[in-house]
Amino acid sequence: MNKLKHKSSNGAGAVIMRIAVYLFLTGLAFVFLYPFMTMLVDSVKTYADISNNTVKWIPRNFTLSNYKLAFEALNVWRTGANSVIVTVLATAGHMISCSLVAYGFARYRFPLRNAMFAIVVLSILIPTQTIIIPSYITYTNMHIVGTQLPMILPTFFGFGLRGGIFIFLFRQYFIKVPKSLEEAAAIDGCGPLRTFVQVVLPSTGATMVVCFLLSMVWHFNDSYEPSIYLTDYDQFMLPQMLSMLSANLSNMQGDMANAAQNMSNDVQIMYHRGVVMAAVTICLIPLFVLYVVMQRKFVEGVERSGLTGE
Amino acid sequence: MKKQKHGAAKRREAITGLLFVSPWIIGLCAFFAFPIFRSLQLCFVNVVNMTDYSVEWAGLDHFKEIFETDTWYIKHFLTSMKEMLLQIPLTNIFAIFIAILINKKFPGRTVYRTIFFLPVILGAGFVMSQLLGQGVQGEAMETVESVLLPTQIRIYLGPKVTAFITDFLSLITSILWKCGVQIIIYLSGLQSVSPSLYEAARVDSATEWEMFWLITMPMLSPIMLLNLVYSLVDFFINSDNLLFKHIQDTAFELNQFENSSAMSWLFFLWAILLVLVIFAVMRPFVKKVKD
Repeated sequence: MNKLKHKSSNGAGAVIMRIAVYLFLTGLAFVFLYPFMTMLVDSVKTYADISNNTVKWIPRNFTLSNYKLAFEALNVWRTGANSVIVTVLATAGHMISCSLVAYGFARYRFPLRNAMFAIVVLSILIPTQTIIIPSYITYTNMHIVGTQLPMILPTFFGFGLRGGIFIFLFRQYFIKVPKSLEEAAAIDGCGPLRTFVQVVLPSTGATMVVCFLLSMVWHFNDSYEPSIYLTDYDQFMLPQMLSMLSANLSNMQGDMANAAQNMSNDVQIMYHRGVVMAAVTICLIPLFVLYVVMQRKFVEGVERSGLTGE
Repeated sequence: MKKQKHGAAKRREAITGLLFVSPWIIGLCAFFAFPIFRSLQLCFVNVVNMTDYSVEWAGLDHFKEIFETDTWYIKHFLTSMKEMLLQIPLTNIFAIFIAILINKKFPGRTVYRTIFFLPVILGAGFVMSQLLGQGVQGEAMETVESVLLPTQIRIYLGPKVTAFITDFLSLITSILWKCGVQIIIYLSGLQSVSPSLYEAARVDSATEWEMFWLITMPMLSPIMLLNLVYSLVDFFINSDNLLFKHIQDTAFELNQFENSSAMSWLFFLWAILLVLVIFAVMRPFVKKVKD
């Protein structure tokens, strides 16, 4: 009797608890989603709707002209292709080099190992901005300034955009992998590199997916290094074009730009807001598609790698 | 047996290891060593001629200048430290909290997981700053606020309390948008905790609260160390950082590369010190998982 009562009150409590959790999560989700919803809605609003405070979520005059303008101002096909090429190559570089190097750090003892790993951590802590001038000199000596190579080449050697973080993450994972598999492979006459590629690497699952995703996103969104190393308009990348958007728009719009020049700064931001939001949306589409695909892979990766312990 | 693994075998192990690390060593020599050397050198010299890069020794002058003539450095430094002390614990608390919530099995968790990871994908970099530049952050807060704090309550509380709550909420919003990576790392940590531990605890009629402190937290401790270090690094290399802006302005607007270099090295020494402190403090608490 007592037990039954306990159980039923527990049931009601669980329902209330569950509702509370859902409410809380939905509230959080709203905060997370707000900027993206605003972006999407504003990108299809006309200027009249944007400047009208009473129009919030449902635009009165639905328009796609913002997208048309943004497409032209961004030079999307060319710029987008550049972005994709650099991102894919740089990510491939990070995945190959960082996993290999991390495995070396995690499994083998060799002289100066700890000192070298300390330098890896140091390389994470030092922002690109600090060493940009000497780096520029280095790449000039290699005659690769003005091409996309300064963004791509270092990634194949464990450097590049936050390369150290990936070495760190992979090493963290490899340390935890039990050695028995590799020992078995070694007894069967498998060399170290083959053991790594065929036995260890396939088990990396979740770590690999997380690193892959982060590397992709960071490269795709980075505007600092491209703005330093790329000089040719044909080589520009998407985030770089975003920062030049207002200038491009003014050039394109001609007499409308003259009107915009007479406005105050705030009004001008408002004036371009629709197009800017459309442009940001366009830049986000590849990442969003990637994310939707990888999201499932991520969950699968966690489960397949046996991390769950089931 | 183990003592026999000397000499030849040991040397072979070292060579194999070095071969695995060799790409990184090449990269170090080709892309990293020279820039680091130059920027370190800049702290202690004056550049006489920019074109052929001839320098003269300046000793500790640049460091002296930071403390004696630069009025902003220490001020920005203290501000960003204050920010860090607030942000890093809050980021991690929120990340653990959200990770635990979406790790529970309930219908629709994939949707929430997708949403909470969105800012990582879409918010890292220029895109987000475009959005924030348009004042989206403030708008999000207004909406949340009007739900949490209706006007009557606001009037009742008075402007000081309201302002405090507003500041706190907007802090939380910006933190929420930044903690996606941490959530993912915690989530992967949570999923590596064996469910049998919880089952055993449940058989012994442990409460959720006890299970959190006695199972989840100890098992998460290595991940937490990783996350704390990640948050710290992320905070230090974030270019929104006021101090960082100051360092860059010194270099590119005032053309004082030597001072700027000294400033950033000082900042990094501090960052490295903090990482070491975190390791030292966390180490006794990190549970060693032995197979």
